[in-house]
Amino acid sequence: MSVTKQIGWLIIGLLALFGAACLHVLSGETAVSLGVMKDAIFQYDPSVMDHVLFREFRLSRTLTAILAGSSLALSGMLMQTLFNNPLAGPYILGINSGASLFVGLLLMSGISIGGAQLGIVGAALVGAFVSCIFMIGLSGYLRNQISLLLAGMMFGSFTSAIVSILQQLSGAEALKAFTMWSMGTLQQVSFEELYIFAGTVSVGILLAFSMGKYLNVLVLGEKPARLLGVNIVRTRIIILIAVAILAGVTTAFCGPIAFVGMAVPNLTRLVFKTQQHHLLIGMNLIIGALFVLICDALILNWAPVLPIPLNAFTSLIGAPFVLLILMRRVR
Amino acid sequence: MIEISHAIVGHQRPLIEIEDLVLEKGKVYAIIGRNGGGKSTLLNSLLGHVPLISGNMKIDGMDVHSLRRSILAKHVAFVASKFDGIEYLKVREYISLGKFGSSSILGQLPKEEAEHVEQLLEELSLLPLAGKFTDRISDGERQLAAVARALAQDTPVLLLDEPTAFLDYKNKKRMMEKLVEIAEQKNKCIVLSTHDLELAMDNSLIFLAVHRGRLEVIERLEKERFSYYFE
Amino acid sequence: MKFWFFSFLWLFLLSACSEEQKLTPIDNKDNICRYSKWLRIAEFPTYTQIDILNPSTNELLQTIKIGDGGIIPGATLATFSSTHIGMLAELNSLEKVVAVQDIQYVYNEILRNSFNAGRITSFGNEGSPDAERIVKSGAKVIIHSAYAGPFPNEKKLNEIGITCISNFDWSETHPLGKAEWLLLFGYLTGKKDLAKEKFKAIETAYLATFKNSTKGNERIISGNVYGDFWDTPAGESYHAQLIADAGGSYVYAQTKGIGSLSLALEKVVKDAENATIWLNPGFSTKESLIRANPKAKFIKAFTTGKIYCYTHDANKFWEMNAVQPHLILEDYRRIFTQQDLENLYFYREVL
Repeated sequence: MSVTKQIGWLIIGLLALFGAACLHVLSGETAVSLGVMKDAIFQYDPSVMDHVLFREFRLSRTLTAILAGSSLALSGMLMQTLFNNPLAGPYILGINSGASLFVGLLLMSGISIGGAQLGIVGAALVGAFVSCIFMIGLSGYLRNQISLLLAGMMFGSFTSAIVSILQQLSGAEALKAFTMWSMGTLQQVSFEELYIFAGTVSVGILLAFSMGKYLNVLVLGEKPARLLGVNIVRTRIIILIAVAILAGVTTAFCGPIAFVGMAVPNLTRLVFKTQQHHLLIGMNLIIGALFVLICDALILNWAPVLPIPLNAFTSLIGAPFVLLILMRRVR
Repeated sequence: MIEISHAIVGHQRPLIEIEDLVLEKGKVYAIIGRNGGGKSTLLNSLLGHVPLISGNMKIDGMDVHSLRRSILAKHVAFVASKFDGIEYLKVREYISLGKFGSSSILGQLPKEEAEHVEQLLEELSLLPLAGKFTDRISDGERQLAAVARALAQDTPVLLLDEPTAFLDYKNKKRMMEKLVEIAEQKNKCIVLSTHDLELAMDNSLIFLAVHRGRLEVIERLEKERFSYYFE
Repeated sequence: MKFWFFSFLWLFLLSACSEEQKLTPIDNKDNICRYSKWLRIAEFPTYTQIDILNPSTNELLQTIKIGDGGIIPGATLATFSSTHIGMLAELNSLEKVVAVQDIQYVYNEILRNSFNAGRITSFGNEGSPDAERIVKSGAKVIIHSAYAGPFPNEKKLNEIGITCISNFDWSETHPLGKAEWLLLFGYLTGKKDLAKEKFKAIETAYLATFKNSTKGNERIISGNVYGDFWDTPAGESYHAQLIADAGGSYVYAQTKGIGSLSLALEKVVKDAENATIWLNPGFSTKESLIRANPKAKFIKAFTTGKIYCYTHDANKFWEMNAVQPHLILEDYRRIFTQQDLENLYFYREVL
């Protein structure tokens, strides 16, 4: 696809994204007038309850949805190309499990990690990075993809086991706090925290973008890529770091969110029918954000009648979709 | 060209001993021998995948096993016996991946390189397929595309692992003839492994027979001698 | 010929016996329960009949006979809910308990000691307790909450003489209706008079506090965010009743339903704008509350009001709340008037 065409798609995507964001910000049980919205954005007054509500509960949630959706979709794409597997997702190497483990330790064990200041977000980030470093270390020893995948799954099982034990031993309050986090939600991010969230995601995106041409070659498989001159170990490490940043920060702020990372990259590839990763990166970011925005807007609108948790909804849509892909492939 | 000296090829136990061997540009060599004899290991050693038990292999004077991947890719290109195609990857894009080393950070090729890709498409009669997805073309066409991709790497040496194994008769012939043409016209050193002895003979390939742990260079192979080399 | 004669005789006797077993549903005038919706008790000369209704269908679910061929008062018991333990404790009949659902959540000292001495079976986390283990525990009567229908293997257990009783105290909407299930335990343990006495005292205390409370002053919000939604009792629920009886003005008092409402946090923040007291957030310190739910700080009561919860001693609450509604009511009355706050029974301020 020519560069002009790519830019064309990007613009259409961004417009759609803006539209979806507006729809999302106006969704919810209580109606928000456009006047209030305008004032809250341009003439924010912290003493006006409506402004505070709009900024902290609407705007914040919309921006979180965009950041979470785009970073998960992108990290899923990276994993799928790295492992040449359309069923890979950002969580298969246990980044999520590592984050869960540290949040679990923070909330449910007696151990204080970094004191009270650390908070859930901090704990999850530390956990994600510890898993990432562990995986990178392993990837130096494990030559092929399958071994690395299995190692990731074993790591995930191991940390899940520890978390289960913690859950058994913990008091009711701590257990409740942990369960609340692990259900996944877009509404816990405060407006000030959004800057950190957005900044970190940007770093991940830049990193991914810089690996664009390597990703293009990786679709051929690791061996052919090596023969074409790619330093596989170095490439793997950088991509894993990008995934850890993107998926880690999202899990830290929103808890685990299912299926976005696995389903969206497949959808994007299906729609645009290309393996050119620079375009795929851009479109995954946009479609990922759209996916989460739309799912969440629906949840918000149906909430009075039928409250559905975010993870349940993304799984509801994502799982059949992945099944469809599987069936197409087997042919 | 390829220079092999005092080399012992093998994994843990030695498979092939090669005293001195020079493979020249402009020629096509066919490695033959029975299965398990070490043909693949020999190729993998030339590619730097498998280290030698002893000795060295040099390509254009540089030792294969001590070169960085990115440098080695400029000197040796490899074609596997089967390329299954990648969905949504167009033929032109696939061939361009051979030039990945010189692409910009946005994945764009410089003008001359892009033109070279067009040239290769023409030479291998792949132009009408250039915009098709690699998993939607025939096996024969795919093999040709793989060769084109290897050629795009613009290396002095080309290694192929049983390139004709999965092709029908017409395409086998076509492939072999093309390889000879490329070797002569572009002055490349081409080494392939094969079981299609007759075809190799018809195209006057120089045989490298792997037999009982040794490598024999045979300019002209008699048909009656075929079975000897497969015991 | 002999064979046929005796078969018929035997069948006749059998049917006569089963006819004897059939009891007619308790009539309203015989029912001694005054508040409970699902429990009916009638005393007859030689036995006591207990009818239990199914809250989902409002129809008779179970009829139990105590005495005269039915359950022997003082039978050994297996309890599957904390509230049952609380009620038995009130009657000083804990020695009848031979099995509990999960010892980890038991507050009662006596039971814990019995468990440590090996006299009680704990079913831990078993979703579906093994029939064999139940028999081994020695329980003759099983009291369970019937959330999901009949007790696992109920028919089998009935055949070997173990009775399963569905206890719907959790589905009562009036605090006294809930407490009235104490009477069931009274009859089961042979201490019916003690039970009646205790219930009378509870009722009296409750009604007295109810009279004392000043109505409708404090605005109350209850519950906390769970995932994306805020869970809070609906207007016709047991909790809402307690708050109203204690003189509080519950934010969602006008809503319908006897269970929980699931609301968006944003809506709750807005609705609770004037609430001065926040009950039952599920955490005992402000730090743990805000950590699990950072946006809780937007609830006015968090910064300018008062928060109260029972989770500093949750097991005690879960065991005793059903049988001591008058104490909850009194706690609420004090919290709402902000007086005599030193000796709250169940609640503690969240700081």
